[in-house]
Amino acid sequence: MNFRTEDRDQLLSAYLDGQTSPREQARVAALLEDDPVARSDLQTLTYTRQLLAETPRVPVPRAFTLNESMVGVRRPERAGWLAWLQPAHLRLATAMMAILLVVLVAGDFGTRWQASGHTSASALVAPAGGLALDQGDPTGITAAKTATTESGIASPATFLGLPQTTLLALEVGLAILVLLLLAAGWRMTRA
Amino acid sequence: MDEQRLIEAASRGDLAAFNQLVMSYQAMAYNLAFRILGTGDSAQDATQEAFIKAYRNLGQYRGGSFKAWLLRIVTNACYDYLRQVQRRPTSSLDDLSADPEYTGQLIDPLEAPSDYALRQELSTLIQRGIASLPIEQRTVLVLSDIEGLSYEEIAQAMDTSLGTVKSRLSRARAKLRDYLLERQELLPSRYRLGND
Repeated sequence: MNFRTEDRDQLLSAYLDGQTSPREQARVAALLEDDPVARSDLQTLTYTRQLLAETPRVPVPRAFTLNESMVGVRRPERAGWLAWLQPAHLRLATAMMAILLVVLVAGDFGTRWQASGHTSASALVAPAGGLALDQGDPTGITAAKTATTESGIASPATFLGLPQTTLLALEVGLAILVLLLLAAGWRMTRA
Repeated sequence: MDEQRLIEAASRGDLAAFNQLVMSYQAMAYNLAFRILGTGDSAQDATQEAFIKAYRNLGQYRGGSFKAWLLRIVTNACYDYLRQVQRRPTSSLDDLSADPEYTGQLIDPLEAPSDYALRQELSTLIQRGIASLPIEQRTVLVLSDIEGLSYEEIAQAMDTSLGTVKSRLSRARAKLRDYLLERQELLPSRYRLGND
């Protein structure tokens, strides 16, 4: 069996530590039987390892415990009801708020887009109706205008039926909350 | 309090809990630093720095062997120390290879003076042999054969693969063996090969 010296040393070293597979153990057994140099190497490696194991431990010269001045400003302990708060909780809250924000913005945008399409269609239809009314009854013009106004130009449909200003305030508020949660999570992890 | 609870408390900023962990691991951390750096002063600096870093970075500990995680920080602190020494023109790496105060650090009141002297000779020679190894082989040898870590723990402590651990350990042992065999006459007779 031919081995490079380095491969043989690695195999014997792993064999010493019981870190060889059954196949490698068989190779070592064959090697030790055939090769007196390998037997000598195993003996000297064992000897080296024993010497290292007998090397006295160095006594610790002093305690390495920390005090507050060593670690800088002490992190305020989260007392009471905040003590349970872990980075994982913050990550979960951040993800939930971010999802809510995306749903709100997407819903708001979608509703506005649909409303603008509906308004355009109404605008195309209204002149014809208006013309008919105009032809039949001049007083109907006012009625048609009123109906058009009520159907969506002055009061467009909004997401979840919420007023546009409320939606905008919610979106901005949620965005700020997500940013604050991200900053708190980053600080908690870094601290 | 068990180790996991201490780690959780320490990660919430409880310094007293962290100091209990320090007391459990300081001997191992200091010995590793001493064997890598070779002098008591540098080992003290690196060990202290490592515990400060460990406290500040406890949030990054993701479970597994806390010992291996901590020894990785100690190892990195030693490497940082060596890099600083290399950059400093007034110091030399040779200064780290022998510590005249080392003799005084190994006094064991329970050991007979003659035994102590023998072990002292052995220890000095082995420390010189370890210091002659490349830094990564030195680290893996100390973690395995002096500190008794498993291959898996060493791989975690050195952020490397099992294969690399095996190969570095084998090369380190072979080099140290050659070093010691060349200096058999310097070893106490009890420790010479063939005197079992």
